[in-house]
Amino acid sequence: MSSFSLDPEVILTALRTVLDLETFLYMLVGVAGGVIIGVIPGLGVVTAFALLIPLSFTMAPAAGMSLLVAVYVGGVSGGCVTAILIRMPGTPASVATVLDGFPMAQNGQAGAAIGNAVVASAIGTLVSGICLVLIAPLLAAFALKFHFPEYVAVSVFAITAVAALTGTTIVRGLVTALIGLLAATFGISEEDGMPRFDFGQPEMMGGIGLVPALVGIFAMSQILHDATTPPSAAQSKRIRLERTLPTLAEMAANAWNYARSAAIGTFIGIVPAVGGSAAGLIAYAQAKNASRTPEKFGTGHLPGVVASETANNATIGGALIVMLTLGIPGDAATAVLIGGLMIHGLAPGPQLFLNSPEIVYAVYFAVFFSAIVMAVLMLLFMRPLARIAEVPSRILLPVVVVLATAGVYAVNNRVFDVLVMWAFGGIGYLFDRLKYPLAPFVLGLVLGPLIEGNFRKMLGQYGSPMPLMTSPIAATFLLLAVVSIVYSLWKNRSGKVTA
Amino acid sequence: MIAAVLLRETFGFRRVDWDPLGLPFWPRVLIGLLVAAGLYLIVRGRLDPEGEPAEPLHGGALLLLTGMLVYILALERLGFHVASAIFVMIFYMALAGPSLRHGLQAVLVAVLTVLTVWLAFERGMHLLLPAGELFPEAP
Repeated sequence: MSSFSLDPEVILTALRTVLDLETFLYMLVGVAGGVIIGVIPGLGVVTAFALLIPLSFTMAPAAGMSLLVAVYVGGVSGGCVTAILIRMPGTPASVATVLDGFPMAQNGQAGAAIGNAVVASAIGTLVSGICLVLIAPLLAAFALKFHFPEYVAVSVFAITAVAALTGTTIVRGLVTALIGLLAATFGISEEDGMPRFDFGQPEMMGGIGLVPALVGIFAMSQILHDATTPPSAAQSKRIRLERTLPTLAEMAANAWNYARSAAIGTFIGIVPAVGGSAAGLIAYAQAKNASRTPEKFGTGHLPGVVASETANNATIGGALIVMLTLGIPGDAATAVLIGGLMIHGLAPGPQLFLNSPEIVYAVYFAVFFSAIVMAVLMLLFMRPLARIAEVPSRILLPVVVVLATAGVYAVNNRVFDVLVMWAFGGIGYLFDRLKYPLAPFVLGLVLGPLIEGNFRKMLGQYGSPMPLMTSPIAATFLLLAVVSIVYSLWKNRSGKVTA
Repeated sequence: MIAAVLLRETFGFRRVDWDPLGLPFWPRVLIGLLVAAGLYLIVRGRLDPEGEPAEPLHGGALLLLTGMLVYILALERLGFHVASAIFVMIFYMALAGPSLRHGLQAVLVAVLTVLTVWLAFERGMHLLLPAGELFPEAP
């Protein structure tokens, strides 16, 4: 029997384990804990794991892994709440949700935004869970083909696609992307183990943390804006709680968006180290590209929220594919999941499928049940959560600064990280005022180490960048990057002609 | 300007023998691209002045940034709780306007905020926050 075959007896055993009352209650706690911690900026999924993993020590392996998967799903999903309400992504995966989610909240559609984000998250998780179950071996084989040139090419495509489709011109997007890529070079070089741009400061050795930079560039810059721009009477009335459940018409209108974004997220999740933030931004860019009304994106357009949240949650299944079949962590969260397996004396990889298939199927079922539990919990408590946005700014802004400070400090217990948050708050405010898009900066910061590391390794191994052209996968992604640039230039030009 | 500062720094990077490209290679590639993009924007702006105008920087934002910096630098001296309480009160009063009523509200918000963060972070999740030099042995 193939190690990846579907054995009915094993499936039933795993299902019984997950549906056991105690395990189900632990999953409930895991999802709720993940959502709550995911909502708080600066903490994120890894912190949620770090706090809840001790709970799994005394549990059976299948139950323990179910708990950790539930935390994963809750943590990734929770980030959309503050991304929409106060322009502060609770987790990096919800960065793209800010682009249309926050404007929707400003337009008095906070409930609809969160409701649709929650449903999109559940759909993304469920679709990627189905992919995880059905095509894990095929997808894992494809990811094995990724070598240095392919990683470089897919990262370049991601950055150019986002730069091309956000902001007013692609060049401004590329400028912020380049600044992000440069910021990623600060600190110890991963390739050489030597410091760069430390300016003689020991604190700079660690480089610029992703969480402090994100919280600063989005939340702090927004606080600077809100504190100095009093809302008009009309604006102060706009954040209302209206309907929270998506209508069937909205869901039907976004059916293709769900499918495309889930596919993008699952694929991105398979590629190690790219992650939910890139998936959300790419899916957002593709949704805008495919839309008949692309000019509405960024103004509070529902498909933007749907695309981002579907894709970032879909990375869960994709990341689990590679983690379970190859033992390769797709991101920090799956690295902790591998740690969870090892705590129970298990190792990911083909041997896990051979020797402990019930663990694998328990993970599958945990993904499905966690998605449903997450959706129910978040939809039930959405109104209390949404009320955060109705709090007067004189209360909300100082509290958010303190909360963000605590959260960012808690990542590494360094005041330096809080200073980074402060600095990027100023930079984000400046970008906003000068009409430079923030999304490409984020992508540059996230993908910078990946691009540099693989580019230098490619040059070291092949002696030239030619493999970018000779590798079919790499060449395809580079061609797509060129298409993005050309399309953006053409769109700008035709926009000026018609104007 | 950013490119110039960073380019100057790259000449101070250590040399590594195992990689001919060395530490400065990748940053210099990025700096070169950034300069090219910047020059393009400058030339384009002169040739085609029409475009989305920038919004003016607000002086209040600079004041708030300065206030935040003071707050952050005070964290390790005063401790998270004291520094945060003071920051919240000042920020609240700055937004609400000076009055006795707003002052009392500011104190209430500050106390509740610090108490909530303490309960959630330190008691609930056992995460450390700066204790400061006033109460270094605080539980």
